[in-house]
Amino acid sequence: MVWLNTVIQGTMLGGLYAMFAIGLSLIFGVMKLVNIAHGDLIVLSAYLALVITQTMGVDPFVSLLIVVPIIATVGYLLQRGLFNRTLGDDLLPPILVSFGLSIIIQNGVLVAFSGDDRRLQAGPLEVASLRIGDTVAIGLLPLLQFVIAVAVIVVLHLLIRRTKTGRGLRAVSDDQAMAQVMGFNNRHMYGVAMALSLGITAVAGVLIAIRGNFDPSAGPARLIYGFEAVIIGGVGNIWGTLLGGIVLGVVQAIGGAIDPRFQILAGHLVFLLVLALRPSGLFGVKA
Amino acid sequence: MGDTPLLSLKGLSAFYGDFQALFDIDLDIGGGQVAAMVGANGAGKSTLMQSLVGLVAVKAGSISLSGEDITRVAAHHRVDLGIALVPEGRRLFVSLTVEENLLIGARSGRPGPWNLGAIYGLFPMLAERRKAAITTLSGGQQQMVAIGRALMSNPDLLLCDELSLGLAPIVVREIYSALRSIVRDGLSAIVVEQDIQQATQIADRLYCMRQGRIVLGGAPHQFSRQDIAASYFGV
Ligand SMILES: Nc1ncnc2c1ncn2[C@@H]1O[C@H](COP(=O)(O)OP(=O)(O)OP(=O)(O)O)[C@@H](O)[C@H]1O
Ligand SMILES: [Mg+2]
Repeated sequence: MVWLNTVIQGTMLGGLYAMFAIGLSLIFGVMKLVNIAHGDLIVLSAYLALVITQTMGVDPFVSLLIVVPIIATVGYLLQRGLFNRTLGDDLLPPILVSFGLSIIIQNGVLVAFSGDDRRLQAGPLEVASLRIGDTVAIGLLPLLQFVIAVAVIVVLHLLIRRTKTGRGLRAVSDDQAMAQVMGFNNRHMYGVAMALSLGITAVAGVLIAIRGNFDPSAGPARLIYGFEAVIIGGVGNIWGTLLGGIVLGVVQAIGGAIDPRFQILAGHLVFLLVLALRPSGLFGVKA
Repeated sequence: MGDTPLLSLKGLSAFYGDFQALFDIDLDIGGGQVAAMVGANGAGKSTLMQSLVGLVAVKAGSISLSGEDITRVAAHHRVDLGIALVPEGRRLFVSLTVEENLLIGARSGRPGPWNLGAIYGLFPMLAERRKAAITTLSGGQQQMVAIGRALMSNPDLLLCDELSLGLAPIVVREIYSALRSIVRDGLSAIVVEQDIQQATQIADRLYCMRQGRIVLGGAPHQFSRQDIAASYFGV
């Protein structure tokens, strides 16, 4: 039963990883952009939430109402003002530019907030739990986070499948030149994709900061978890990515239960295993 | 100026890097006119179509639509001005269904006779497959979607680049008979083909391109087969 608990914990953490991952795969799908600063923008969202919860005295969940629109807007402006200028046939320039951005954000946050560990406080919710039988207990906070993660992913799926904007994003992703001929301003559409990507990751960034400590250098690890979830699940498959995130979360939880020092490594090992045995991912379509 | 042509090209030149693909192209297309554009592989026909929709930058010369200079207008604004392209190789959006592809075409919101109902009236086969994935369609059906997608913007000028590419002769006849009914109501069109037969049958004007230049132009009946063959192959 200890194991069941561990798997449940891992699943819920995996929901957050899946949100990191979906932000990454969305922008890669639409404009073949690999954003190395993704993790640092996740951490930046957490600091923004920290400022808002402290100055306005609101709950971290309420702070989302402010953090998400701000980070989404930052995403749109970053895309229009910076990343669009780097896009072309070569994948390398945007990677280099986002790498530079990553360093700027890390150092900027370090100067503004120092290198101390921070954490968002959610009050009594943090210790509340739901007992099922004698041995299984589900923390209310992780459960709420998982439900939010799944809800965000479902909404994104509906947006992409059912709305005009989503149809446009798919068209741009399929054939950029023809999308232009049909009247899409690709630069704007890329901005929309980045706003969505960072909006989603801002949610995940704030949620994960209620659960564990963060500091200015926490970004790259978050970026890696996002990448790993994408690869484990299979590129270009939104449900695969959710499952990829869950697999990663569960493996980390099991690794951590065996030996706390083994938690992160276990995730990396499973990622490498999937990459070696099924490069198209567990749930991806074989190329 | 009652007789401003719908489309007027003056001294148009275009390059891919250092390679010049179009040389000094002059061309007028009147309202309601259908021009056949023929020429061998690599003559520059597709490059010309791409420069009209803004995908290939024009180095020198000008493009005017109804007397308005659009040479520097961005590609994504040209559909609003009434230019639509059925591209070579169809290039449908593969993660969209048939109907979604058609709806993308209507994005510009230009008024006119073409809407989903009209497209399904023209190609009833597509109505049955409206929810289908593009990859499950036959080549002919895909070409119908590509034509429908272009028409959905209610263009003034329809550019068709090698409609017959990779299609069986019977399917080509079907597509061309649809095209004949499309242009009957006064839509202007440029119809690019390698095969002279098909395109000239529905055209009021015939142009032949070779090595980036228009080397022959006029009413189709004024040229003999030898004239056309000579300018086509440059013999
Ligand atoms: N993207 C490109 N980059 C470099 N050169 C190109 C490119 N596209 C076309 N060309 C060159 O430009 C010339 C004209 O090509 P274009 O595709 O316009 O010819 P076409 O008349 O449409 O031929 P086809 O009948 O084979 O479609 C050719 O020499 C071709 O090799
Ligand atoms: Mg061509």
